[in-house]
Amino acid sequence: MEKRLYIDPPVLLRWLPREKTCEVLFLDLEPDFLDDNTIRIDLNIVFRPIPVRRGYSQTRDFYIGSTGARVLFEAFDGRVRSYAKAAPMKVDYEQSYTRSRHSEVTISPKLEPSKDISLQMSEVSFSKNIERTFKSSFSGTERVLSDIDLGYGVEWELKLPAGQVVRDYLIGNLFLYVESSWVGQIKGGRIVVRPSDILFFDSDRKMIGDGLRALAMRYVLWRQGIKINSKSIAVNFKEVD
Amino acid sequence: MDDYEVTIDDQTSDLLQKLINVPEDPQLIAQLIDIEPDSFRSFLRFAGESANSEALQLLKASESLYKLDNNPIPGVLSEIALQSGFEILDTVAFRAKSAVFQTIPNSLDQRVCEYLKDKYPSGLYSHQSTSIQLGLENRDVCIATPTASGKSLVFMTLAAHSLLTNPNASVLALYPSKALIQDQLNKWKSVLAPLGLELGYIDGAVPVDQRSSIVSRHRMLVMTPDVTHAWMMSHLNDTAVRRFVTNLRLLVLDETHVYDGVFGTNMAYFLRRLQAISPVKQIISSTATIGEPASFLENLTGRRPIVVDPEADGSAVPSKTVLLGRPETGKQFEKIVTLLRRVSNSGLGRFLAFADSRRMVEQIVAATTRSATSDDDDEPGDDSALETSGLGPALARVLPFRAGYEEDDRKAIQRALSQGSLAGVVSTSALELGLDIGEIDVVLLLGTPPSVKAFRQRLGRAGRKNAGVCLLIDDKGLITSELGGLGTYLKKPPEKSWLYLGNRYLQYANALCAAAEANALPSNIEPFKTLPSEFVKFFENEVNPTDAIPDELYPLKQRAQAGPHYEFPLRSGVEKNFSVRLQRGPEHDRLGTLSYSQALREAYPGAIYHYMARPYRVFQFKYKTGEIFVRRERRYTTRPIIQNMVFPKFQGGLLSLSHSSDGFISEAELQVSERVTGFIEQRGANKSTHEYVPTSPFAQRPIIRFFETTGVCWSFKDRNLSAEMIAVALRDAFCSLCGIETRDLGIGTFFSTTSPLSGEKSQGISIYDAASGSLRLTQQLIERFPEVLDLAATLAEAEEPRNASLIRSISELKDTVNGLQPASADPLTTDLAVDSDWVTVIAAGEQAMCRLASGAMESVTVLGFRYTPQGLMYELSSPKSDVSWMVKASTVVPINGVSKLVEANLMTGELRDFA
Repeated sequence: MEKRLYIDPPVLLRWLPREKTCEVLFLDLEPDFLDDNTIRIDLNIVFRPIPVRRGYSQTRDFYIGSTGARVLFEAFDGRVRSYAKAAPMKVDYEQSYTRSRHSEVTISPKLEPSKDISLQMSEVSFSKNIERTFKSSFSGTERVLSDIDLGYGVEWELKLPAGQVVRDYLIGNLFLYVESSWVGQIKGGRIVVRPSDILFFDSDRKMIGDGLRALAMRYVLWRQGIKINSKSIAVNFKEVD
Repeated sequence: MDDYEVTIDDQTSDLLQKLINVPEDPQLIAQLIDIEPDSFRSFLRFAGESANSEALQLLKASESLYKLDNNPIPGVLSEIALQSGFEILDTVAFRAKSAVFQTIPNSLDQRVCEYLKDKYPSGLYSHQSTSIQLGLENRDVCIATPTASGKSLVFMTLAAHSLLTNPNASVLALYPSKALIQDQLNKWKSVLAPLGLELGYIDGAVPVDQRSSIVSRHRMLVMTPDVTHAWMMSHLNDTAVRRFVTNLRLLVLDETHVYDGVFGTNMAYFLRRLQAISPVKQIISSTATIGEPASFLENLTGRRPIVVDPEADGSAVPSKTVLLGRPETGKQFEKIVTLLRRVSNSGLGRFLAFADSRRMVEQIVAATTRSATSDDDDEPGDDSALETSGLGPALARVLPFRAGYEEDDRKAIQRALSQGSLAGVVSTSALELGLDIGEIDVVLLLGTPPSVKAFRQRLGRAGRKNAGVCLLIDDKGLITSELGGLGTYLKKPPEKSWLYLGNRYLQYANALCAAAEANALPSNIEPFKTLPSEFVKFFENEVNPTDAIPDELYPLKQRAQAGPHYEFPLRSGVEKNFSVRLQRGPEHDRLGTLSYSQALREAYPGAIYHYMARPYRVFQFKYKTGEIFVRRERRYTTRPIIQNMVFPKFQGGLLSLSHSSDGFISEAELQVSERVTGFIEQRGANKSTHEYVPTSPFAQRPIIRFFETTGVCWSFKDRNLSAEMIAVALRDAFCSLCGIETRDLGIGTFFSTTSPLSGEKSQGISIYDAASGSLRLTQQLIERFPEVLDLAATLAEAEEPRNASLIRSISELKDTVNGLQPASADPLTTDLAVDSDWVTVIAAGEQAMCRLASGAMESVTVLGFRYTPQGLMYELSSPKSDVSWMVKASTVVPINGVSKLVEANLMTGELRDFA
């Protein structure tokens, strides 16, 4: 039987945020029901450098982005069985794994259409037995993925090791997974992703602004109406029959 | 621009480059990019960075930078707005600017020069000095510097110079409102009196029998254009008036941006008429906030002035802060009422709030003062407070202000505000003008301003002498959704003012006035050459009649018998005006005036009409006498049920056309019927509908406004693309784009037996120009249709809650419009074809509109036509079965696309189809 998962609010990658120009992070998720009580969620966190084009007379671009993130997964009244483990991510590191789906799941954005509006809701369906390869590749300096097992959830942090000088900017996707089980009737939880910093990089992706300077630069852009979003992406999910 | 790319201008790029190179010192950074504390706090709220130590360092640095002109009001107002349910999205602060002085031009008359030196020992502001110098060189000058920059001193100085150097010269200063005259008189006196000069003023409130004597005693007059047009131009035989007009050398026009739309178009004609009978050497004008002032003034006066623009402004400007707010979800009206209540009790200072409709102003104040006094409905007939104070509820500290108030009430409000007994006033655009109502500390814009022009003018009301603050509530999301937000909006150039000199009705009404003036004084038609040639033809035909007057203009000629100047006021054009009266036994109290189109929305039979925030019920609507009778009522609200029907003239009236196999979009001449069929009344949560059926206590002759205009019509196979919802979204977007008020446009559906594509039927929707005879406002709509669609899509996206079907429909309409091909429109033929014996008539059994003797229009059925010694006449179906109703054919108008026409031979009686 096809399973259905509600997400709220609908801000996943497939329903691109409205201010897509100013997002440094995107989140996508793919759920799979391993059995009646266990859901596996694959998270795809996209670190996106925002290209900034300077005026019309100067063509040289720079980028605004984040080099790290904190990801929190919580299973309400559930327990985490397995999840992506901590790993140092070295220069030219490549990690890949392949898996095959167990169930068919549809994700629906949780929207309440008002009575006088007929609304076609967007949905994303995942078919069973589709084999897929997830590949994380990082070019650039070494980063560390650390994890904390909270029992009812897990928290990851991707950051630079202390003392490391950021020379290059990370572009890529971070794939994480978590499998959790619920005993009660309601299977639901929350995923929060927050960028750890917002930095400015030049066209060669060398850092040109951090700390006070980066904040001041963001303020200058904000005054011009370019509102770089550093807020968390928080998604609630719940299985529905 | 790529959706995933951000573009910044060179200035921002340079600033970022400097930031990259600056040492990481908070003080240096704050100074370099001029961090304003309130703005930075708004940014931190957005970024969620308030606890960050770096954020605190920069905030501290910015506060020390701004310590000198630290104004606590923006912070407090921002808190009040948050508590009232508004989110503060952005803050922009303008730092104070100090004055730039220049010496007083020494070619001024010695006495004027001495006076100025004595009064302004530091010299004049640089733009004042430049403008005076240009004036002394006999140039026409337009001073277009911002509000409160001291523009008046320029023309007052030049007037004094002109009066002193030429003992015969007279000077006329025109102000667009009576209130403004009262306000400016003291300023004029303070300049003229020390120089031994006197001035007189005449506005509508000065009794007619005193006016001639005022003119005879003064060479300097301050007047409204309305009274100059209606009284002075119709009394040119009066010796004093004749002497004043024929010696007129200098004409001063203040606040010229007000001369827009119908008023502006009439004003353009009036100013040419004035120049035709008087030797005006120079026109000094002032305006704030309009786009392309030189070409606008050339249109308005027929003469191109030299513009002293805002960049030349040398005046001192206090700091000003603009907060951008947006209502959180929920009932916006209640949030506004809460906001006003809190601001009026906050001790922040006096406020001026702007709302965009007369009804809204009245209702907001009624709700605010009700909650401030009592929650119950007050009893009808309780006018004691109104009588004793003249200000409505005695405890009210907030009062409404709008055009159409009686003189005494208006003065009482202004007085109360300037004396400080009021916390604030909620106004329509009526208080945008430079009225001196004392210092206003806070300006509240209760909705997205209708135009940049209006925004600048309203913003200018705050902080004229001390620091001011303005809260702009962007309810439509127009500013928020714009790339660049508030910062970009504040830099936007104001829109151009819109005059349409091609309106035949206004041309003819003015030609009638010009002909009457030419009878009294020799007229020089040179100034008329800057007007459309049709006007000159009308004028010459009136002075020396050779051609018949077109049928549609004949009623104007009839109305003008008693004098065209009084019959066609400048402001309302050819529309009839109504006076509202409150019956108190045998006496009547006057409760303001309205035009017919305003009456259709505010004072139809059964309506709750608000005056000074008090509700009255309309129980009698007398079209013939122009009176509307009301009585006191409880605090209910009503809104009219208006049926708008549009009748496009696709055959012979097409102005432009684009089409595809799916349908068409066109600009065409139209007839519009706006009919009030009843109203919806709301009492608390209860709503009831009243139709004007025979049993209704408010049933009377239907109230219809039937007029000819132009508009944009579209019709597509997919009927969803002609939904009213889309038309409303397009109208709002168009108004925002071009700075046009939504009330100047109407929306109506059409069902026509013809189509511009072929002879088949068509149905669709139209956005039309609501002025009788058209101002061609919608010409821009068709020209900029893709741009309007884009903006409508952006606004729909920004709307909360999202209306997905509207967004989808706009997107589909965009795709459809992209596939259209332009086609050449037929040449216009405005008259029905007539050859020797064959005339075009309305076929028997067809619907048409008949203009009654009172001027009202009524829907009729034509039974047949007859040729009589009085000319062609129609027999119409009469409400009484035993009465034969015959009217002159010229009073019956066929309805475009509805009334079937035939050709009839007057000699033989033969009929044939209309080709």
